[in-house]
Amino acid sequence: MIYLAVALGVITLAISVPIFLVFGLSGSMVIINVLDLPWSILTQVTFDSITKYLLLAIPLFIFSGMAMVEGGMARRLVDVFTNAVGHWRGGLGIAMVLTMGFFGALCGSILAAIVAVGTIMIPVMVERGYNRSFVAALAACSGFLDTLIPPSNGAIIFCAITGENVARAFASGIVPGFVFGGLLIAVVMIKCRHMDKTPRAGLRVFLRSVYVAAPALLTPVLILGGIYSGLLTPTESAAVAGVWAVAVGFLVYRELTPAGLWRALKATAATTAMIFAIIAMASFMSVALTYTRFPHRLIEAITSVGVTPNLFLLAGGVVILILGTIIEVIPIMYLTLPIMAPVAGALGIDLLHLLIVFTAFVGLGLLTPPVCVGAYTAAAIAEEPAHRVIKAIFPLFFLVGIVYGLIIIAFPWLATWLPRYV
Amino acid sequence: MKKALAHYRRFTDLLAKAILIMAALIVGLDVLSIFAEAVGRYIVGQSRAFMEELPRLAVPLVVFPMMGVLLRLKKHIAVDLLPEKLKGRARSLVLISAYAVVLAVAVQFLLAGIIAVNYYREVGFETQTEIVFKIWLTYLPFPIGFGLLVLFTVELLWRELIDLARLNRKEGS
Repeated sequence: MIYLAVALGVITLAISVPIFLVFGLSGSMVIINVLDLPWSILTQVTFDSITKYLLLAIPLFIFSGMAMVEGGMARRLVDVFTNAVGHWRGGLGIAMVLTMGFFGALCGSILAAIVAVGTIMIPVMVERGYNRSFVAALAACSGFLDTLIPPSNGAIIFCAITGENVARAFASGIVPGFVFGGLLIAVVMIKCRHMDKTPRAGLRVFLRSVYVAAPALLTPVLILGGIYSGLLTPTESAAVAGVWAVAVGFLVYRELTPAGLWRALKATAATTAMIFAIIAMASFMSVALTYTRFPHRLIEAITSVGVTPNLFLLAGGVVILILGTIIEVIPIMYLTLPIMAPVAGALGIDLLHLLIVFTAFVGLGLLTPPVCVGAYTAAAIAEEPAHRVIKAIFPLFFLVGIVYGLIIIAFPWLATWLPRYV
Repeated sequence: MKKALAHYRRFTDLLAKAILIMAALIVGLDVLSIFAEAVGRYIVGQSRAFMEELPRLAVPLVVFPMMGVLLRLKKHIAVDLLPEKLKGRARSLVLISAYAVVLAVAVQFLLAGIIAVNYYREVGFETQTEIVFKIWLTYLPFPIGFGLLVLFTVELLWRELIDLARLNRKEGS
């Protein structure tokens, strides 16, 4: 029956049945027919999985991101970073990476960041002579800084699955975020070394843009400061960020309209339902895994073979990369982490190290066709055919991702050093 | 057939709008409630537990009813390789198979949800929250959501069957 459930899962996945139903179908087949558990238990498990207080932070961060996009914060941030580094060779590319990284500290959504920053920067960069495909590829790749720079929705889900502390998980992404951002900036500096420089913005212009963007620049202080000072839980901090984004959009920048706010609420409801439907149905899989003791058997098998932590992370990374080429990040988390986390624990791997390795390889997978939503979104904004953007990602940005993944596997302290002080 | 589908679509259009409005309002209230809870704790020195509990309990009200709306908008995460690569009848057949599976699973979960809700109604459990609810009431969005998913899937399946019939006629002529 278990094999039948897996086969049915693969077939229904192939004919494009929504993933949450594939999880529900396969999981319930095993639970009802093999484990003989009643439906009442499954309903209870489903509700417990989606009504966790921690997970409530996800819709709230999504809302704050949407409200920031509607309210004009992204444009102010672009101005600050363009005025700061725009006059360097490849300066606009560097400004894009920095803005994406900073926008990642405001909201937890990759696509929101690509849309918000890309819509403003891509046309300007193309106008200044940057290659359209390269710019779109850069936007898609730098969007993944959002999965590292806190607050990150991926980190929240990771914590909901593994029980890790959210503040520590957020902190674990900061140093790797700088490493990945640094690698991207290096690529821009090399690739765009022949580009003409744009005129330097004067100090007054730069300071003026900082002043105008102050509410946006202060947002990470509000979000992360609230969490790390112990004043706010991550969920409360997300709600405060949401109200702050609305207040700034309405009262300071005056770009947020009631219609814009309504759009943000509707988009949040849709994205929340999409994510939580997967979480709800993936709880069936978790029950099946727990009752069949699959992770324990895997731990025994792996430890008996003598697999080293680095080999495990590398093998896991390859599996995640392959899955990432066809499935989105949240289903992959629920498919792999309930199995990988206990094994990592048995091998003495810090869970935060696992999180950052996971993020690196899932990010690579999501840049690889056929499923590469970030690249498709950036291509749509750049008005460039998707295949050209994907060509621009391969091999250069893909190799950067591989190098970054290997660095993260080899140096676990990049992920674990900062969380020690939380 | 087409006329009947048009009537049915008008009904599902209204339904989808109503569900989206309800879900968006719940999200807005969640933000305000959690914000008020955090601010209340630091300004007034206390906050009420229900401000944190109600948003949690409201999550299923956003998630389950929206499943059908998202299916209609094609916003659920799925592996869309086959429908994107295929064209004409082959594509239509794949989509019909997918919707048929969705319909079967949705009906199964609808029945399962009704069984579960009935069970909890009989045992009479209550939530351990400041504002006490019967547990079965909090579980109600599960069968309702899958019931709505059935309604929206019927529309999509119906539309795809009409498309297939049109393609068959075209190929026949």
